[in-house]
Amino acid sequence: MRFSYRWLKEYLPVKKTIPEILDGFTISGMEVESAVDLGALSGRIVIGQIEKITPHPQAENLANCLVNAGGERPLNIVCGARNMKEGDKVPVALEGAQLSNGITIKHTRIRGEVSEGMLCAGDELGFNNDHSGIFILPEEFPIGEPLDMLIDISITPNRGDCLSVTGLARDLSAYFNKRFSQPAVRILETMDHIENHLKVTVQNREACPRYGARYIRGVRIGPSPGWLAYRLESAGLRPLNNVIDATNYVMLEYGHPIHAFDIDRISNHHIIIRNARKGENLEMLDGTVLTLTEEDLLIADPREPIALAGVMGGKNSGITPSAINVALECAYFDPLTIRKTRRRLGKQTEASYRFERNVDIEAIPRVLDRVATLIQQISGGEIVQGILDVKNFKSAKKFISLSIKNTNKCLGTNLGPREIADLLVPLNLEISNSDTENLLFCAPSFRNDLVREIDLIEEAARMYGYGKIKPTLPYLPSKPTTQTKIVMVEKQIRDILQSLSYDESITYSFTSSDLTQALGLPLEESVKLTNPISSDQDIMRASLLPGFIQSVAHNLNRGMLNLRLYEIGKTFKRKKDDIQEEIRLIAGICGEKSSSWKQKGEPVDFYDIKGLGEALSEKIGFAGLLIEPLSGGNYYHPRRSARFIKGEVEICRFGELHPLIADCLELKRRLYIMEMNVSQIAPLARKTIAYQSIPKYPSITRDLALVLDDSVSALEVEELIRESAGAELESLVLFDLYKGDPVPRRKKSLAYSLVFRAPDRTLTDEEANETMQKIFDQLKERFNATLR
Amino acid sequence: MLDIIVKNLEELLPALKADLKDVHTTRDLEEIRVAYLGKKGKLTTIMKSFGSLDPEERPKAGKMVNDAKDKALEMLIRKEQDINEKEILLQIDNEAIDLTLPGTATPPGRRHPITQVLGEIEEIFVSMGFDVEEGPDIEDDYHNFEALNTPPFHPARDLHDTFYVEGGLLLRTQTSPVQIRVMERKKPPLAIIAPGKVYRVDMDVSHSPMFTQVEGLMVDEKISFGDLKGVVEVFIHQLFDKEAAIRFRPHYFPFTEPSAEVDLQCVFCRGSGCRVCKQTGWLEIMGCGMVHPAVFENVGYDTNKYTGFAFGMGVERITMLKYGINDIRLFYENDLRFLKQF
Repeated sequence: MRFSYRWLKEYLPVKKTIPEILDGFTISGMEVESAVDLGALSGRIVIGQIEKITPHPQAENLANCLVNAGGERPLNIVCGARNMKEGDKVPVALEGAQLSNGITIKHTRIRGEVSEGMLCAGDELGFNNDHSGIFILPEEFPIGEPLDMLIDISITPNRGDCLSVTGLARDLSAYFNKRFSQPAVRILETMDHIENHLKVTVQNREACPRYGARYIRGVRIGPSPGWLAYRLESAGLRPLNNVIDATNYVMLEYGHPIHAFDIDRISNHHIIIRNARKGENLEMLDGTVLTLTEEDLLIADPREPIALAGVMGGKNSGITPSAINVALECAYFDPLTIRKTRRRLGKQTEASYRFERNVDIEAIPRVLDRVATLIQQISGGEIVQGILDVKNFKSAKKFISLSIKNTNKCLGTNLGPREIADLLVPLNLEISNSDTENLLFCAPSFRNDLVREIDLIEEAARMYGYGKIKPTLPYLPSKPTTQTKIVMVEKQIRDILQSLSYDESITYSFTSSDLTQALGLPLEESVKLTNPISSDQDIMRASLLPGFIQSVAHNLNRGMLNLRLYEIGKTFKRKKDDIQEEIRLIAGICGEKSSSWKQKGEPVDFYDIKGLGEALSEKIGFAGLLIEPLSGGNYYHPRRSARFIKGEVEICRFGELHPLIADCLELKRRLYIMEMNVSQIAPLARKTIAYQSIPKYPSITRDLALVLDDSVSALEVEELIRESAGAELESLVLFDLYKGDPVPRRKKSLAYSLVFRAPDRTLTDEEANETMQKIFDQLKERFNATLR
Repeated sequence: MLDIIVKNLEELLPALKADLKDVHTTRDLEEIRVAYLGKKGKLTTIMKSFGSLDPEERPKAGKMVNDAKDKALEMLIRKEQDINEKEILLQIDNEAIDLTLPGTATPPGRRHPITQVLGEIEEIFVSMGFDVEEGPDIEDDYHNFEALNTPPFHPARDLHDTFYVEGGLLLRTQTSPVQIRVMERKKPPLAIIAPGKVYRVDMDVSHSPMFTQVEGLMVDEKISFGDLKGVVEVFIHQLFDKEAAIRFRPHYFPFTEPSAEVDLQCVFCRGSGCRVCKQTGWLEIMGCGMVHPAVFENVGYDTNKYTGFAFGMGVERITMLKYGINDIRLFYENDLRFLKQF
């Protein structure tokens, strides 16, 4: 809600400085969204009057303006605009003024002529977007006074009563401990009664518990006076004509939307409030044609709809320049009905916004009186006697009891009944009963948000000031914190990956179904968004891969070719009627190993990602894993991918990204990835550490360099060595793999280092030699191995 | 005969001393050692002449020779140490390197800034006795809205543009539904935080369709707004700056009452007003309030017995303020030049 400070000040019953007012709003819960100073704070933008305009001697398109800005002598200001004339009131930016566009005003010479300031256009001030000429101010504005300030308050959805200038003044007055009452209206009516001219029938009483109408005849449509147009514009509304402007003005003033009909365009002068018929059409004031449903509430005449209740008027009954007789509507519409219609049609208006947040049902006659007198004042005409007031609700006072004990218990304060009463009474809450323990209040009709005790406790706290409530620390019983296995494993994984130089990435939980499909991932179980923000974020990810690949590609495309990246995050799958959320890990590596001036990094390969899988599995508590080639490779390289299994359970899978996919995504490097379903394996992880005593006897080390067929796997060789070596083989390490001269084609050389040790004696060379022979014999027999 | 031995011995040490003077290498020293103490060395030669001594003169001569030998050895060892030291010093002089070449350790990886700040936040609350709880990202309307006192068509729903998934469920717009899930399961006293991803249909430099929230909830028999202020102040002081001013200002959330927004004095301008704080001198850090009795009623807590507070904050926003990041979308691009800075 944006408005002019000048306007607010007119209602505020206390004298406060601008900083006090802005602080007061914020501290009482009316957050100041922005405050555009038009001189009220700085004093450097003032109201001036043009006394004389003479042509600039050097420049045809400039003029010298002699401006009375309240000083001892008029100022000479050079101006390029043409729209002003002598006698006009204009905004004058004086030396030192800072305009909202960042310009600071200085005394200067323009083409030889002294210019002691600047006359401003609406957009230069930040008042509106108008740059067509100098902003001509209302003629009532006093010369020499600072111009104004535009205050924008962000009003929370519970406070519909503050969507008006008087509503805000009322709440702020209470904060300054002063009770505010809206000004009384004096109305002059004809002898003739409205019932002779207008008929109102409410068919849907739930949706329209009160409908009030007034009738003015003989208005002259024309532009609004300057002061009114200025105030409308300060609130961001465009002036249209004096009758429509008056309805908007009173809405901004009192918070209650009002609609004006040209009564001569309403058939039979009969207004009917009814639900729309399915498929019924209505052309709105803004020219759009809406197709309605039976849920929508309409204002209609016996022939056709004339307005969409609480949202916008119809074109067929609006106030045009030829209107003479006007019917004014001020009603209470059910907030939910308006909200449903507004949401379905996507038509938010100043009116619907207020109806959705509740208007004051009791204020209807007063608002009608106010708008009728204002129209009479600015458009002429006569107000026909009486209000057609169709009431289908019971006026009832709303009593709320407040316990002193509960108040203090909730707030941590020690307030007495007297203090609490003093806080709440300025909010127009009436005390109707009180004792030492309880206060019984009657809530004003405009505060629809006050329903139960806690609402009053909040009001007391708000008026007391949150800042005055002393901070305390609650007592908590001590107990061990609980952590799930998944959370613990997740932390371990991050630690390990961090130590292995992997950076963490986080991507959106939604992803593209197209990319998912392109990667060969299934879509059947995927969770689809019904309102995605874009078509490439249309499903919840069932795999981390699509988002991860996008992060990798982002970096590769920007020249970061060596990367180690991972993500741990949730994935989503539809399982019958349920949705399964699982935490998964993906890690990827590409480019070269860390290189330096000492050593050029080698390209990473399958064994780097396998090594990661091994390290992770072991550290989180999986020993004795079996490796298995990945069958049905999907997005993995069919010959360079595998998984570790423990019994039936897959611990992780890893390998090179399928070259066809890498090609399709134009990845600039081979990417090796590893995936783990953390949710599934974490509960199975068992990390047990059993200390082994440090050996007492020395070991014997032997190397074994074999030449084998290419098709023999390292695992087979290793298993056979272990099997034939027996318990004294302490460790077995492959330290070299060699292919090429002098090793024959289709052969490879594997070189192992074997360490033997006995727990109870020093092994002899002879024993070691014997074992080595046994191992070699086995290798020779099984794999036709030779020594190199 | 003894006289000659005595005389020879007396001349031996000064001669050795003189010889050692010109020795500079280990090899030369070895030659000297052999010349004096070797099988054909001077001292050995003297000892060989013992045969011609009277038996009663032998012990005396023996002692004299041993003394001389000890002294000679000592001189040789000292000289050896001397030479060693000189050789090492010489070696050191030849071992100058370019100290300015870069070091070569492999740097550790980085946790994502959001993970890091979330970790700090969790640590502070866990140290105050809070438990960490979690809930599903895909929620139902009841837990995300209705149980939180936000019935269908409530205007507050306008502030949460919601993603829906096929089948009527939605992506949670806040971590607050975890409050409900925990209260449905457990009885007070409760002190929990619930971190997690939340989703709203919104995207610009300060809004991301997915972001991270941390929810907090404490319920017991005597929890007051004062306690809320105390806990929140301790937290913010730990996370940011022990000196920074904090302000609680009334606000509205459907599921708390009284509700507040918490402002921290702007960490960039120290409250004097700048671009980041939109000239107000304050930065909005979190929302909080006393749990609304309607929420307790929804989970079957006795509203006469229990009170509680809840709070919620956006981790991206806090991280942006902590490090001066100006575009929320950077968090989800995963550009290494961004990630490596934290």
